[in-house]
Parts: sequence; C-alpha cells; structure tokens
Amino acid sequence: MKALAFFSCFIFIYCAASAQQSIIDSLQKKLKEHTQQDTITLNNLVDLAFYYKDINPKKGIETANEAILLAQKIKDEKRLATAYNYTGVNYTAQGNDSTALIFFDKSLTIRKQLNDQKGIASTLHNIGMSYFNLSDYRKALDYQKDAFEILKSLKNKTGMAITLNSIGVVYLFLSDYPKALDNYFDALQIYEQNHDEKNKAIAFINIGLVYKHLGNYNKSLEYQMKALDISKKMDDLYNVQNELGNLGETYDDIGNRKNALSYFQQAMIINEKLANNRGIASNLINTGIVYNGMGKYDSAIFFLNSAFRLYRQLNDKYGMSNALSYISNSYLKAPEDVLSENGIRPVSRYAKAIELQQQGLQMAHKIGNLSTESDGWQNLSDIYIDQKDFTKALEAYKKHIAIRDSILGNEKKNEITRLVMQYDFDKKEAASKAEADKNQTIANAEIKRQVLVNNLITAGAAMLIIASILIFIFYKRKRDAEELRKEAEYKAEVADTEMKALRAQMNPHFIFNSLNSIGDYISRHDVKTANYYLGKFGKMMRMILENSEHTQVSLADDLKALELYMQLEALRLNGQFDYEIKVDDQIDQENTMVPPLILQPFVENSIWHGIAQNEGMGKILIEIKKEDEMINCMVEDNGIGRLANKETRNEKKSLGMKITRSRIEMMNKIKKTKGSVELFDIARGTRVEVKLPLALNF
Amino acid sequence: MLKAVIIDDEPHCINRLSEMLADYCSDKVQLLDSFSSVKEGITGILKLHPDVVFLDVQMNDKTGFDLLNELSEINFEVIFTTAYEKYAVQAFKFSAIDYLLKPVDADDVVAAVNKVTKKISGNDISQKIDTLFHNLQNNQASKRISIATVDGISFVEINDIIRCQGQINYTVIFLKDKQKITVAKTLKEFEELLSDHNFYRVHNSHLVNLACIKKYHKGKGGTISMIDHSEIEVSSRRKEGLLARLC
Repeated sequence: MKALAFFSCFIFIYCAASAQQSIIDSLQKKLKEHTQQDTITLNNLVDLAFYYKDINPKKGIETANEAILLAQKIKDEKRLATAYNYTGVNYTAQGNDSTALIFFDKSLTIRKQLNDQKGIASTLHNIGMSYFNLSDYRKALDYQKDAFEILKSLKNKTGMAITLNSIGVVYLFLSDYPKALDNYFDALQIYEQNHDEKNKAIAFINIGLVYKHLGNYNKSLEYQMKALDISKKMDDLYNVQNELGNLGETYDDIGNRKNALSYFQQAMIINEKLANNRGIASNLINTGIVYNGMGKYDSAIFFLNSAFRLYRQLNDKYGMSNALSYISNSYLKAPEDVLSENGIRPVSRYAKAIELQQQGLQMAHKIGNLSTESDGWQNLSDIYIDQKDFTKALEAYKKHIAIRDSILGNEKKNEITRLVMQYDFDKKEAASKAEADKNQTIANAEIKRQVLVNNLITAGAAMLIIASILIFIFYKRKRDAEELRKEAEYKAEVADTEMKALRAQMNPHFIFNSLNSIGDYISRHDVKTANYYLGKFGKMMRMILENSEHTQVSLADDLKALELYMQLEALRLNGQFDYEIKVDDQIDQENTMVPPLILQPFVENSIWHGIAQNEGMGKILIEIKKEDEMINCMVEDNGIGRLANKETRNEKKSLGMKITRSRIEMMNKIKKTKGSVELFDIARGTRVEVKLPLALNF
Repeated sequence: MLKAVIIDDEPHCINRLSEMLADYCSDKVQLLDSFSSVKEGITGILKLHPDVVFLDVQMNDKTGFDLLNELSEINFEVIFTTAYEKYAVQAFKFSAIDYLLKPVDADDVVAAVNKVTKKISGNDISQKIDTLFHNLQNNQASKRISIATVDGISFVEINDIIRCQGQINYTVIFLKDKQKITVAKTLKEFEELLSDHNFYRVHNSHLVNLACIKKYHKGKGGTISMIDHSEIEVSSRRKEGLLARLC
C-alpha cells in the first residue's frame, strides 16, 4: 500500500492538472485559426506541447517536434530551447528518461548561450527529475541543488519552493527523512510567505508522509489533517479525496480499521462526484483489503470485486492483479455460505483461488510488477500447502523466492547507493534505523560488509595521507639539515681557501724580504743586529702561523702581530719611521674579533711605497675606531702619496689591496655584512680605511 | 750575578744564545759552560752548581725531562728552550715553567732572565718540575696546573676546578673543595690553557668546567647551574657553541 501512497504524492509534485483538457482544446482551436508560420503559432505549439504532458505525452512529443522545426526555421533560439525542454518533459512523462535527458541537454546548451538564468534553472530541475526517475539520486540531488542556487540568486520564490520540494522527495527516497523534512519545511515557509494555499497543502501532505515513514503517526495524521483542512476550505475536491485516501491508509497502518473505512468511504463519495474512477477504484480496493483483514469476507469480496471491475474498465492491470490476489485470498478463507452467495461451490474453493491467483500473477508479470508477482507466488504456494500438494507448493515457493531475491537485489543496489549518499551528506543514523525493513536482513548483511569496506578504505586513505605528511616532514627536515650542513661545509671551505690564499700570498713575500735583510746584516758583519732581527722574525712568523689557524683573532692579538711587523720593518729601514697605534676606548680589544692580518698589506704599502721613498722621518698611524656597528681600521702614512708614486706603486699596491678586498668580499658574502676598503689621498701621504662589522667573541 | 749553563745538542743554538746573553744580559748572567748531551749536562750541573739552566727539550734520542729526572735534587731554575714542540709548550704553561722559543728573541731572553732573578730564592722549582712530570706522564688522567698566587704557588688538579671567573686583570678560580684562588693572570690565559681540557668560555668573564655543569636553563643566552650551586650567565654568542659541546 505504501507504493500507492507514493504515487499519489507524486502526482502533486509533477504539477497535477486535470482541468488541462480545456486549455488544450482552446490551443488547438487557436492553431487552426492562425496558420501562419510565425511566432504566434510557435507560442501556441510550445504551450500545447506543455499541456499534453499530463494527458497525452505522445502527442506532446509530436507537437514539441513541430515547434522545434518552426523555431529553427524562424531562428527563434529562445523558444527552440523551450521546445527542446518540453520534448524532454513529455519523454519524462512517458517514462523515457534517458531520451528526455538528450533533449534537456540541448535545451540547456542554448539557454546557457542565451544566459537565460531562469530557463537554465528550469532545465536543471527537469534533468534532476529525470535522474531521479532513473534512480540516480546523487545526480538528481546535484541538479536540483544547482537549480535551487540559481533560483535563489534570482529570488524566484516559487521556483525555489518547487526545487526544495523535489530535493525533499529525493531525500525521502534515500530514506534521509530529517533532510527530507528540512527541505519540505523550507518549501512550506515560502508557500506561507506567498500565501500559496494549494502548495501549502502539498507540503503538508509530503511532511505527513515523511512522519509516517518515521513511524510518528500522530504527527503524520496532524499534517494530513492540516492539508485536508486547506483543501476543504479551497473546495479543491481532487485534493480532498486524495488526502482522505491517504488518511485511510495511515489509519489502516496503525490498525484503526474503523477510521480507515470511514475515510475511504468519504473519499469515495467525493470521487463519485468528481467521476474520478481511478480514485474510486483505489478506495474500493483499500476498503476491501481492510474488510479482508477484519475477516468480513462477504464485504471484502464485494468491494474487491467492484474494484476489479473498475480497474478492468480503466485497463489498470496493476490494480487488477492486486484485486485478484486479494479476492483469491478472501475465497480461500471465506466461510462456505459466503462462497455459495458468490456462486462458488465450496469443493472448488481451492481451484477458484488458484485460478484467480494465477490470473493476477500473469497480469503482474506482464506489467513487470515483481513484488505483486512474488506475493502471488507465495499465496499460491500457501494454497498448495493447504491442499497438501507439496510438489506444486515447492515449485511456487521457489518462484516466489527467485523473484523476491531479484527484488532484493534491486533494493540492495538502491540501498548501497543510499548508503554512499549517507556518507556524503553526513546524515543522522537514527533515521535510517527506523527505515530498516524486516525483509532486508540479507541486504543489511551486505551493507554492513560494504560499510566495513568503506571504513577500511577511508581509514587506509587517512593513514596514507598521514604517512605521506610525516614522510614529507621528515624528508624536509633531513633536507634542511643537509642544506645547513652543506652551507657550513661551504663556509669552512671558503674560510680554508681564504687562509690558504693568505699564507700563500703573504708569507713568502715577507719571509724572503726578511731573510734578505738578515743576509744583509751578516754580510755587513753586524752579528748583533742579525741575531736581534732573527729573533723578532721567528716570533713574528710564529704569531702569523698561529693566527692563521683561525678565521678570526682578537684585535689585541692582531695588533700585536702588526706591531711586531712594524718593528721588524723599522729595523730594516734603520729606524726611518715611527709608528703609533691608537685604539678607541670603547673597543674591548680582547673581545673584538677581526680577520687575521687584515691591515698588514696596507702597512707594508705605507712603509715601502710611501715612507721608504721619502726623505726624513716617516710616521705611521694606526687608529681603530668604533662607528655604529662597524669598526673602522685606519692606516695613515706621511709618505709621498699615491699620486706622486703612481707608476711604481700601482702594481705592488694592487696585490695587497686585492688580497684584502677579496677577503672582505668573501666575508660579506658569508655573513651578509657590509665591510669595505677605501683609499684617501691626504695632504701629505695616504690613508686607508678598512671598515669591518663589529664582531664580538662574547 | 746568575751562574748559567746551556744544554743543547745543536752548537749553533748554543752559540746564538751565548751571544744573546752576552749582548743583552751581561750584567745579570755569567755563562759558566755549555754542554751538548744529557749525560754531559748532568755531569756539568753536578760539578758547576748553576743558578739557572737553559735546557733544550729534544736532544738526540733523549729529552731535557730525562735529564731532570736523573737528578735527585733540583736546586736551580730551569728555562727550557724549544723550537716548536707543542706538547712541551703546553706542559710548561701548565707547570708555570719558563721557556724560550727558538730562534730566541732578545726581548724574551731578557724577560726570562729578569724573572729568574726575582724568584731565585724560592724552592718551588722542584714542585713545578714534579707537576711537569705529572702532566707529561699522565696523558690520560687529570692534569695538574701550577698557579702562582700572592702566597706562593698552588698546584691544582684540573678536574678539581669548577670554574674560573675573570675580573679585569686577575682571575678567581673556584675549586670543588669550595676553596677560591685568586691569580694575577687574565681569564684569557686560563682559557688558552684549559680549553683543550673540557673547559669552555661561556661568557666574557666565565670559563667553566663542562663536567661540572648541573643544568642548562634556556634563555636568550641562558644560564647554567654548576655543581657548587652557582648560576653562571651564558653569553648569547656562546650559547650555540656551548650546546654543541654539551650535547
């Protein structure tokens, strides 16, 4: 009976209209009157195609096709899109959703080109409907939601409500009742704002339906009543009968047969007024089923037979097969007098029951209604058992099981789709429990397995991600450490090269000059001076070697070495110059670090190319000053100056300068500092300023 | 007037030093004789009773230490001479024994002679020599240093030093037995002496024995607690180096 309930709700969603025949008639008339191939005709064709969808989809398709050809002829893109859309709608009405999708797609393409937002939303909604019919609920939801977003941006309330309703239906099918309810309530809100009573009633019906599924019959009945009230107020008899029928089913579900019968009866009265045979048949069969359940077989047989006749009139095989099955059941259980009243001899009770059941079965089979067919076989099997014809009973039972299994297979598929969706939409589990059907134990086992697999996959993926992140972090750390190590190595290498260069350039130069001087003293038989000089030279060499082991030495040590050097040179020049070393009081000589022998080349220049070339007493001033975060080391001489000595000086001077400059540049590069070397020509002599970053040891 | 002998296996070294003494120290030193082997040296010392001996470290297959070892009593000052024996120089520094590096510098000779002249009366020399031998023999075990104080010379096991604190131009040494020794030497000299023996200069005025650190507290430079409960500030520039040594 649930299936019937769904069906009735569906008629609403698909924009029910029975009064459409008159519109169709008037449109056909207009078409006959106005035969020019122009926009007016096109409009009429398009409208006609739309209204055919509920009554005669086949004609609807033909009409839409005509509209397409005309639209193409007069190059009316907008109506072409509409015509395509309505072709699709009619195919949907026919149940041919895969073909419908092709036309919707065409419509969508044109509407996108035209940037017709409303049209796009409408087509998206229809596509969603088709996917829904094809049981692709995921896609159905996607399209409906896309349509909803567009309508929302257009502030199209009615459209929004329609799509919300459709989304609700999809959720209902996915058994996600809370989400279904949310959407229905949202739709309801819009209808209330718009005072759209008719649609409000539809929303109430749908909400009632959801509560029924949730097992909340009180709420369900409450909403159904609300819907009924509205429909009654609006004198919308068609809806009134529908709601009465639904109420009857709900009362039947909760075992209140008296109320059920009463509502079916009320519905029947209205349906008779409306001459709604389909509705009447539905009321009749439902009444018969209730009586059958109550054990009132005479009434049951009466109503079921009436229903059967009406269904036969309507050529509704589904209804017929259902009716036959229940009639068979009643015959089987009815007392002998009731049988006799219906012209059946008690001895042929079984034969008749079997015959009816088989008829019903065949019809169900023809229309492909598996569940009715399966039930039929089961009933048949029961009858055979009563007859003690176990062979046939077994045969029938086997068929019943085979069909049931195939149904379960389908349901299983749907169930799995639903579960996947469940994860996607993070639904509450409680609702799904209520939904669990007793017939689905087998499916549930499979679902559990699927869930386990899904969980394992999720856990595996999560672990994989975590592992990759960890590996990345470790890799990065290792790489950073490696880079640091390489940088340190590079620095060490540079420093090493630097020192090697220093020794290679500085030492031989000085060593051989000094040895020459000693040799000179010896040849002049000045043993005392030679000895003195040698001692100083040894000390000086020792100091240079020791300092060369470090990239930086304290300023105190470096100045000591420099002083020794100047003493030696003064000796060689027979005291031709004097020197003075001044250090700023702010500078802690022990704690301030400088590259070893950074000033020596400049002092050497001053002595040999400034002072030695000059007459009179030379003077070398070494001054160390603190300037901000730098120390300025100055070497000043009163020699002949650079300009006067350009030729002789250039070459040699450049050697010392070059070494020092490159050392400072290297230091700048490694430590990112701004050391510099500058030369100044002063009034008398030359001044060199070497600026170094202030580096403290502590 | 100091009576001196030179013991060196190379004649040119003897000649040079003799000339230096003659040129610069003729008023203070009287060179008695010179010898060119350990054996001759011992004989010479026992015969001449010099006040000061200029003693070469490396002599053929023997050393100046061997010479001292063979003497039952050392009642003369020793000034070692050496070209470049790093281990020996370190040992001299530890034991506060005078030494001259060859080729000898005139100013250094004068300074060494002046020093000997001043402390000729003391009997510290044998203790210093003991310290020297201790350090030379016990390469692995704890070394000992001679520390000249106002009261005389202290001999301290390096392992007993917790830390040294520099105060401008003197240094206070803190020992495990809670004793404090004040020395008229800069912290830098101690740093040079001890940095190869598990000491680290954590601050401009602190040199610590790494084995005596109890805890490091984080901070800009941080601080360290020593086993004597003292809290020592660590210079931010030394933090990295300290941690590298500790970890």
